[in-house]
Amino acid sequence: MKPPSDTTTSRVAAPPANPTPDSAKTVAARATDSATTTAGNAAAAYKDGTYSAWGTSRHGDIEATVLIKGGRIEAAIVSQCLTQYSCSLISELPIQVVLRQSPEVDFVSGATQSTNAFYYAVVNALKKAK
Amino acid sequence: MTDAYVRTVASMGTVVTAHVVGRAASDIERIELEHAASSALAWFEEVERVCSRFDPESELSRLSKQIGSRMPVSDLLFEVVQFALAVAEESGGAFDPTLGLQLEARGFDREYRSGAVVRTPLESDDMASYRDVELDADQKTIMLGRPLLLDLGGLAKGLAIDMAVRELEQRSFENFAIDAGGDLYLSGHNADDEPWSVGIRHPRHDGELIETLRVSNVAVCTSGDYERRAPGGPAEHHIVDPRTKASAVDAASVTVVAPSAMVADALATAAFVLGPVDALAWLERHGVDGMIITPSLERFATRGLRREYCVERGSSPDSVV
Repeated sequence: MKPPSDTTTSRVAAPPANPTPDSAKTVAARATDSATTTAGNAAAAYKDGTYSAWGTSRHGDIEATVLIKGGRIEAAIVSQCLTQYSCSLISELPIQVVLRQSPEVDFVSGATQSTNAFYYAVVNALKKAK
Repeated sequence: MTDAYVRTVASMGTVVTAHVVGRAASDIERIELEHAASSALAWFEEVERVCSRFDPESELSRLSKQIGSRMPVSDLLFEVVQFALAVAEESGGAFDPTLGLQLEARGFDREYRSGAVVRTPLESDDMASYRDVELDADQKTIMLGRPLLLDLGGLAKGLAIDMAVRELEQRSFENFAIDAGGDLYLSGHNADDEPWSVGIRHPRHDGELIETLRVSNVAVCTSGDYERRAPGGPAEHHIVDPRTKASAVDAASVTVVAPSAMVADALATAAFVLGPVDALAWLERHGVDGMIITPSLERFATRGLRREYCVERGSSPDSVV
């Protein structure tokens, strides 16, 4: 058995600049492929500022925006929501991220599908804040 | 502080991430690292192409259209079906890979990329079980003795994780993690030179952890009743007891720690159906560790889990075998 060629995963797809609700399904249809070099999980002091990034799940894509003040997460919100379910379902999530100050463990086993998109959006946004 | 290289793709209905610990010291090392990570993640596309029941062109879908004849199949499909049948046999049918039609009928019928509803043109036969799948190891053929649809969901994801791990190991990477929507393999140590810390999601409080494990060179998979609720109602979820054809109700989540992700995923699904008491003994008999959380949040864990992997004594599972 040989793995497929490298090109199968190199479909880079950034969500549209001005997304509309109609585009929700087509956004969910694309694979994202992001490669970044990021600091490990050693004492995370983030650079102050506002950072946005996208996360993908089977239900659609979510853009999270995090506000860093004094090296800490001051706020994390869903800034754009292209999911097939109502965005009110995830309205409680942003607060949890602020409370936890980013994941306290390396990984979580049993993570839910619906929160994945937001989780990865925040993780991607925090990468930019390093 | 050591850096980690992170690469993410969306595949098999979830987000898949490869984290490789280490800093590329040169351009050549960086290219090697990128190539290794994308080759590892390419296995998810490959396994999905073979094993998806949502893709009418997948090898699995094509096999399901051939009832009653011996069909030659790829090594990959043969291996995963053979393993699935072995787990079915070992669990007395608590795990059964032939429930694809029942899952479709319960509303698990949407292709995750397009949202399109997938219906397999087969008459549902409630009598069908894993016993109706016949393998020929010499000829590498599979025969379905009744109209049935194989569902390799979690197993296929586990196999893809295992193949990705093998890909990175063959390229001499030692410290890395593969995360496929909460199904994990953790190799070596993290960027802090410590065993990887893995939180187990609380089955009733989203965003909370019910346990934290410290692990190295193992897969950790959790099956929960909270993930993928069926459209049929709040009590319906995706883990069906093959023996009753209803949602399994004795567990809220099961976590299994095993040397391979395919093993961890399959045994977690079987243990979920078996219920806490039978499951613990069954997991130990198969040489893996695990923890079962009941709907009333009682915890049952193997001795090995508490001894080897739980981080804090205070938060250790309440019950052991």
